[in-house]
Amino acid sequence: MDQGNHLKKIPFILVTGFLGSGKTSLLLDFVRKYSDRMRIALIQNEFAPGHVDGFTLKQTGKPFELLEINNGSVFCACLLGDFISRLEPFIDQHHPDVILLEATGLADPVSLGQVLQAPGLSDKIYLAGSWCLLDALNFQRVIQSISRARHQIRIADVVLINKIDLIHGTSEIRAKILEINPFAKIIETTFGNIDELHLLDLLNFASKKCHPDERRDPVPNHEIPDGNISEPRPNLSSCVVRSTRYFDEGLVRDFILQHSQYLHRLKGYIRIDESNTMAIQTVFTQISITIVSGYEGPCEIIAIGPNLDNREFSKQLLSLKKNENKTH
Amino acid sequence: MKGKDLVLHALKGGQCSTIPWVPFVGVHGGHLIGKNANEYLHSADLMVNGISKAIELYEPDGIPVCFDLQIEAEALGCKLGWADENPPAVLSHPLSGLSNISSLNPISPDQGRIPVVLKATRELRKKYPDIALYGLVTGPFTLGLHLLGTEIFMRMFEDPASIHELLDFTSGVTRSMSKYLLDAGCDIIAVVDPMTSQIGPDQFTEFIHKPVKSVFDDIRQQSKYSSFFVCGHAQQNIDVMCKTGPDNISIDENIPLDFVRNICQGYGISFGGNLQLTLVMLMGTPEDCQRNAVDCMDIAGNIGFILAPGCDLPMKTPIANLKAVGSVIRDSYQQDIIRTLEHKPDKTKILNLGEYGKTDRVIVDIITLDSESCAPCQYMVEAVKEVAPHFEGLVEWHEHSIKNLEGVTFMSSLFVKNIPTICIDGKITFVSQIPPRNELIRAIQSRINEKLKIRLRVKQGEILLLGKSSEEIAPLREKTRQAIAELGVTIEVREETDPLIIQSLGVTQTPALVSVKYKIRSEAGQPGTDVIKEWIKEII
Repeated sequence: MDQGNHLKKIPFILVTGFLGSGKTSLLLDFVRKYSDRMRIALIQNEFAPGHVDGFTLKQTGKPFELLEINNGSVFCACLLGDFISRLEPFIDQHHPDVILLEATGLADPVSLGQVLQAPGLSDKIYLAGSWCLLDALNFQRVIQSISRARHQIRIADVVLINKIDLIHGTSEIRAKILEINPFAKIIETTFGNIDELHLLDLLNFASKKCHPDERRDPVPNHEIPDGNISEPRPNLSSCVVRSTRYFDEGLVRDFILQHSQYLHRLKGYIRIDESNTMAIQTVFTQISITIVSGYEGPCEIIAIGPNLDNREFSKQLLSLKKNENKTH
Repeated sequence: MKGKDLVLHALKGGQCSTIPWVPFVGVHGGHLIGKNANEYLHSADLMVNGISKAIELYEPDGIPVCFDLQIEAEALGCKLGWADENPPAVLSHPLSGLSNISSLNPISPDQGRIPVVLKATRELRKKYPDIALYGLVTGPFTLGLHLLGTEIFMRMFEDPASIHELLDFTSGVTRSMSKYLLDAGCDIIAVVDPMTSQIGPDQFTEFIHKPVKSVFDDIRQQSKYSSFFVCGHAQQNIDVMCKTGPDNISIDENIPLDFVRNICQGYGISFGGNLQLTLVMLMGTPEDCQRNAVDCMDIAGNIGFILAPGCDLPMKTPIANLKAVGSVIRDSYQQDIIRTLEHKPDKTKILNLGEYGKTDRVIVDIITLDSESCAPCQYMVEAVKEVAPHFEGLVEWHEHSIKNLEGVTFMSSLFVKNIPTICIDGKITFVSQIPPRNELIRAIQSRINEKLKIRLRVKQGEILLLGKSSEEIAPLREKTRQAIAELGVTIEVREETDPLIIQSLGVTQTPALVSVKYKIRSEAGQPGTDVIKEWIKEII
C-alpha cells in the first residue's frame, strides 16, 4: 500500500439512516468487497440498537480497523467530546485510506461534520460525503414522524433506498426524497448490497478521483489500484457552516460563483427569508441553485475543496447575512 | 443587581441592565479539577469542587448543579456506558420488547445517583446563597426514549395509548425529581427534553403537552421557577412548547434567537441561549466567543433574556473561552469594541512595522475605540498626554481610533487584541488598564535608556593588534586596554597572528597596531557607481 498516503487527508464518509435501514449490512458488504484493496476504518456506535459487534464484522475474514464509540444515540453536539479525543489517535495508529462512520438514526450529520474541523482532526481528515440509507418498507412512517430522518436525507449526497424487494414501486419514495433534497443521487438496493458499479461510483465521488463529467458515466473498469482511491487527491479540506440568520440572495449567488472556481463541491441550504430557501449544489464549476419552500432548520452549508481555509470561508459566508432584527 | 436576583428578574421577563450569564457546566466541572466524567458524576464532593471552580473562574449569575440526563434512567434500571469525556450513554432500555410499564416502580430520592446530586445541591446552596442554582431533570419524552428505545417513534403511530401511558409515568418521575431538587435548594428547574426536537407540533401537542405541562404546573405550585431546555432542530415546536407553561425556554444554535424571542414574548415567557457549542465555544478563540456572545445579546435584547450555551458544555471547552464570555457580558466598552471591529473590512492591510521605533524619539501609540466616547480610552490618552512633556521632546504620542480604517490597520499591524492598549515604539506595553503615572514614566524612561544603549553599542571602529604570537602582542594589549579604560569608551579589540592576513594589511614588522574607523555611507538606498568610487578613493 502507498505509504505516502499518510500525508494526505483521509476521506471521511457518514453513513446515516434510521434503525433497521441496513447500515451495518452495507458496511459488511463494503468490507467484503474492498478491504483487500484499501485500508478501511469503520466507526460504530458500540451501544446503538442493532449494533453488529467487532466479532461479527471480523467474521468477514477481511482486514479492517474498527473504532467503537459509546455515545448512545449521539443526539447532541455536547456528547461529541470523547469522539474527538478517540478518533485522533485511531487515525494516527492506522492511517486508513477511507473512514466510514455508521451514525445512529438520531445523530445530527452537520454536528458530526463540524467536529471534523477540530484541531488535530482537520489536518488529517475531511468530510467527503454522506450516504443515507432508507428502509423502503417503513419510509413513509419514519419520514413523517422523525425530523432527524428528513435532516439526514437533506444533508446526504447519496440516498440508498434499501429493501426495495419488499414494496411495489419506488416512485413515491423517490419523489419525496427529491422534494426534501433536490440534488440527492438515488440508488435502489436490497440487503444493503450495492451494485459494484454504483459503489465504485460512490467511492470516486467521495475521493474526487475523477472529474464530475466522467462521474456521470459508469466507472470505465472495475479496477481500483491497491490503496489508491486517494492517489490523485489533492490536499482536500471540508468546512461546515451553520447559521440561523437570513442571507442576501444576490450576495450568496456572487459568493457561490466566485468560490466554485476552486471548490470541488459545495452543497447545502441557505435561507433568504421566512418562506424561501436556496438549495445549492456545485460540483466544480457546475452550479445548481433552486429556491425551495417549506424548509425546516437553519442554514447549513458543506464545502469541500483543496486547502480550504475553514475560518476564512466561514467568515466570508457569514458576512453575507442580512443585517436585521438587531436591537442595539 | 447580580447573581440569583438578576437571573430571577430576567426569568420573570424583566429588563436587565446587565444580561445574566448561566454557563451550563456539566462534566466540564470535572475537567476544571482534573477528574474524568465517571469520577465526577459519582461524587457530590467533586461536583461541589468543580462547580465552585467554575463559579470562581466564570463569575456566573446562575449555574446548574449537574448536567446528566441519564440519572433518572439509571435509577429506573437502564444500564449506562461510561466515557471519560462525556456524560454516560444509556445502553439498555428496560421497556423494549414485551416488558410492561407496570414492571417499573416510581423513583425515590435514595435511588442510583440521585442522593449524590441532592447532596451536591445542598452544599452548593449553603456555599453560594446568591447564585441561582439550576436543577436539571430529564424531560418526559427523552426519559421515555431511554426506557423504551427508538421504538417510541413507531409506537406513536402503532400503539399511541402505550405512549400516553409511558409519558404519564415519566412525567411523574420528572415531577418527583423536580421536587427533590427544589427541596434541596435549587431555585429553578430546567426540564431538559432534547428528543422533542425529533417530532412535529401535532405529535408534541398530542403526546407531550399534558405530561410536560403537569411538571411546570407542579413547580409553579411550589412557588418556584422553571425552564424548558431543548436542543436540535426544534424551531417548529417553540409555539407548542410555550403552551406548556414554563417560565423560560432555552434553545441552542439551531434556532434563531429572535424567532424564539418573538414567540416567547407573545406568551409572556422569558428565553435564553444560544452560544454556539462546537465551532465557537469548543474550537474557537476567546475573541470568537466574545463576538458570539455580543451577537446573541444584540439579537435577543435585554428583556427577559439569559445568555447561556446551547446545551451542556463539552468537557474540554477552553477555560479562556468561558472567561472571555463572563468578562464581556459586564463590560459595555468591550462590547462596543467588538461591534466596531465586526465591521472592519475583510482584507485589512497589514503594515510592515519592522523598522518601527528606530527613530531618535520614543513613539507612544494609544489604540482606542475613541477617546471621546469611551471612558477608559479617554483616561489612557490623558495619562500619556500628561507625562509626555516631561521628556522634553523625546517622546511623541499618537491616538489611533479603531473607528477609522487607519486605526484598525494600525491595530492589526501591531497585533493588538484589546482596547485600549498603549504601545511604546511598536511594542504592546499596557493592555486595557490605565497605567499609574509612575509606571508609565518608568516604561518610557526604560525605552529611552534602551535606545541609548543600542546607540552606544553601534560599532564605531576597532583596534587590530598584530603579532607572530599572543606573547609578542601581550605588552601592546596591556597598553591598549589601559588607553581604552582611561578614555572610558567601548571599542572592540581584535588580535591577529596569521602572517598572510598581517601581510594583506600592509604590515611588514610586528608587533603592530592598526586602527579602523567605520563610516556609514549609504543605508536602505542604491547609490550610483560614481559615488561609490569616490568613497573607495578616500580609503586607498
